[in-house]
Amino acid sequence: MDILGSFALLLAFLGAVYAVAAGIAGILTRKTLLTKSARNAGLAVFVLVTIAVGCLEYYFFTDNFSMAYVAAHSNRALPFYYKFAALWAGQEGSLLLWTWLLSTYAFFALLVNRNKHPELMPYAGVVLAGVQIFFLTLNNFVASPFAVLAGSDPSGVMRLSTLSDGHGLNPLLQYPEMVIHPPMLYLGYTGFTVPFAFALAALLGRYPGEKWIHITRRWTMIAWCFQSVGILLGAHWAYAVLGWGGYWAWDPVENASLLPWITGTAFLHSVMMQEKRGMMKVWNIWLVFTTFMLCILGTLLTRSGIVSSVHAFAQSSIGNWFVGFLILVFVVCFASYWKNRDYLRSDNQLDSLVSRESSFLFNNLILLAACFAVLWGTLFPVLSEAVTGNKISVGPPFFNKVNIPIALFLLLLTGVGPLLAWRKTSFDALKRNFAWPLLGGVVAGAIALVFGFRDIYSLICLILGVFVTLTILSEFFRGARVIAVRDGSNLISAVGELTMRNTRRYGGYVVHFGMVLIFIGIAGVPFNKDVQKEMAIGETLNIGPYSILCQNFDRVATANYDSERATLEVFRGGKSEMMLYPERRFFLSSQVTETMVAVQSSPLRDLYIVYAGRSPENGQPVIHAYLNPLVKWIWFGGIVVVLGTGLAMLPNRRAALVLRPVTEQAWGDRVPASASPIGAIAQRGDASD
Amino acid sequence: MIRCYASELRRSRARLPLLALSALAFLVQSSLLFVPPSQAQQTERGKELGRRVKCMCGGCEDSATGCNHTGGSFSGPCDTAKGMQKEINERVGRNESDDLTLQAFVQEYGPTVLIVPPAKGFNLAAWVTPVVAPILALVLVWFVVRRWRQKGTLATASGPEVPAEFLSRAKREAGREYDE
Repeated sequence: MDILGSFALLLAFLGAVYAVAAGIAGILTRKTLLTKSARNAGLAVFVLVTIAVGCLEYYFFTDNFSMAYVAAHSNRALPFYYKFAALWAGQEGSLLLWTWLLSTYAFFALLVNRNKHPELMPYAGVVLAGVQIFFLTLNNFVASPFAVLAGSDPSGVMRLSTLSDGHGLNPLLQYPEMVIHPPMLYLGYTGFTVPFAFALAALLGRYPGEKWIHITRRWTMIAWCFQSVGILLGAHWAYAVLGWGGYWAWDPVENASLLPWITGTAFLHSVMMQEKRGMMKVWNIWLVFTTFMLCILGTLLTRSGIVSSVHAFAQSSIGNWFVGFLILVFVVCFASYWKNRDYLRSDNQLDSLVSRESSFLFNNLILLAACFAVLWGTLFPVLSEAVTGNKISVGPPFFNKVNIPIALFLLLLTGVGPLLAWRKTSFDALKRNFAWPLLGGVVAGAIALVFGFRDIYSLICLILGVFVTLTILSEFFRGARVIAVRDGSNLISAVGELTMRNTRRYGGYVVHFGMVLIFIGIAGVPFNKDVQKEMAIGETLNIGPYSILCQNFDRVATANYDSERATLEVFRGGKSEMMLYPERRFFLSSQVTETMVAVQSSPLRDLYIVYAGRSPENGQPVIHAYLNPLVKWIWFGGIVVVLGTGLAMLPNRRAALVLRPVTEQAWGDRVPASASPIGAIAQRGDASD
Repeated sequence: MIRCYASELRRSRARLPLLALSALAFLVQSSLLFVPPSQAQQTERGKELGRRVKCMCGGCEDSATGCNHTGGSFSGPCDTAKGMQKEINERVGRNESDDLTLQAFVQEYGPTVLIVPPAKGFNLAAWVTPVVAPILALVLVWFVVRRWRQKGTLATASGPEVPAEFLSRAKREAGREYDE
């Protein structure tokens, strides 16, 4: 059992090498037997990596402290769910998790398409296996999770050794979200490999048409959704565990996760240009390439220590491997593009600047500007040091200053873009579509001003948030009204029918609405308040409408940690509202102290209490209270984004085509085209974006 | 009339303590308002300056004001951050300008102490590039779009009319492929 894991990993490496070799041979000789054999090797890699992951988990659950990785990241008192999550607590295990998730994606991509696209799949299989070779190289030869502990006996002979107990899991990771946050994020990072593989395969094989985009659309959305969830869970973890009252600090590792998400978002939008109009083919190919390369760059930043970060994986020599791989990927992508660039010629041209196409162009431009600004700020300290020889810092104020205007412009486009027609939009249509939402936004802004909302960015965000929400609602309303009039159904069921007929479009609107909620949540930041106070029993701390009375301090001991806990009673308007119990836990195995924040969350505001510990000066307990408005909207917005993405991935329900002529009076003047069968079909076709 | 005057007098007498209290409250409030301006602004200005310098303890990436040591024995400002904040407050108390105060920290710790790069020399590029690059990209896109529009010519539809049945079948098949 002890060598099964490392043996499986080695076999997986050989399997991936074989998949590449046989795949290339099959493509060159056009022998189906070879390409099928390559595909089967690709499938086997998943099984072998799964065995390796199973072995490592088994070592964790059986407290096998002869394994160096288990001894470093677990201990006997660790709860079982954290033993499971300890798999990705360190460099070696997290790389293994990466490989496993990658092989899982590859397995399903190969399996689902095993009898389809015979010209494309061999290329895609080779690319997928090629990426796997890199990660399996790291797993086998650079950062093996199956290293065993050894020590020399008195006679100087090296012998295997074991520890009686492990060093324990990093206390920061002992939080429920840490059980799911890293796998979610990694599912995002690794998931972008599938569209990358199919894009490169289509380019290399000069696969005709937009088929590769149709094949990978859902894969891209799955990866994007996981990346979104991973980022939000990470933000929530930072908020709930680190005890600094915030959720995003523009740390390089946080930025690294944001970069591919931004380009992935741009791709999900621009891909529609290629599907609908056969445009932006070069752009889309490079967006997919860039997204994948940013995933690798993110891993490089996380693990190399190139930029200083509070995250744990920094400072290791593994970064050189990622630099090498990144260069190789770029060279392969560029060479493939250069050789086959004539294949990416656009079918159509832009007809008007006021059109859906141009809004997608702007959307992409703004998203890439945001991506560039984040990347620039993240890497500038390295660049500055190389040029001037001086170390400088690029902290959160820089990112806020640069990115907030970009993000607000993007929010504006979120409202404007979907309401513009393909090819050209008339001024009348603009007026009709935007007048009421715009008025709604301005009215909301005026009301906010009256109520003392003075922060300019927050105010703009609120106005745009209302504007976008109203444009989305109007889209649902107009579509549903047509169905309701035609079918005689009520408006609510017509909304359901409308959504299910074009899940991609209306799911997209739901995602946009989720993003509006997230923006509104972020707009609350300028109104944050905090008070820190030394508190004896019976003392009170006031913050906003709350008075917090300190009732008690007590100690709790468990096998894993000792805890010191404050008992606080929260009053509002003289009435007792709730009890809160912020804690500080001292983890015995790692000898590290962590805060357990107490949060009372409501849609309006979070009361966020940290027991900061005892004052170093006089030993008095110190309570730090924060009042953070609208934070809940961010998490709720995240849930809406996930639901919207899920909706957009569902297949469309077939609309029953109305082939009978319909009178002008019944349809009104907005839908005269449906008076004929072709008109009805054309109308449905128009809506299907 | 006299009764009226008397009741008026009673009312004014009754108001006297109220007026006295109001005057006292005004005086107290005024005395609070008229504390030396440097003292009143010290905390806010000091805090604001503290947010512009980085805690140089080496164990965090926080500002001097926002220092919060996760994993430490105390989740609050460390000694380094406290020292830095104290120095800032003293300089603010002496009415030193923001630039002078920040410059003193740069001399002590180097430019890395500033939480954002100074907008001069090579570091100006940090601020200018994220603005200039999208503008250049916008200009580029503008030219590309113009070229597209110049090249784009609309072809007139020609050929036999497509029967409705055939068209609907084509749409169905396209839709099926699209859903895959």
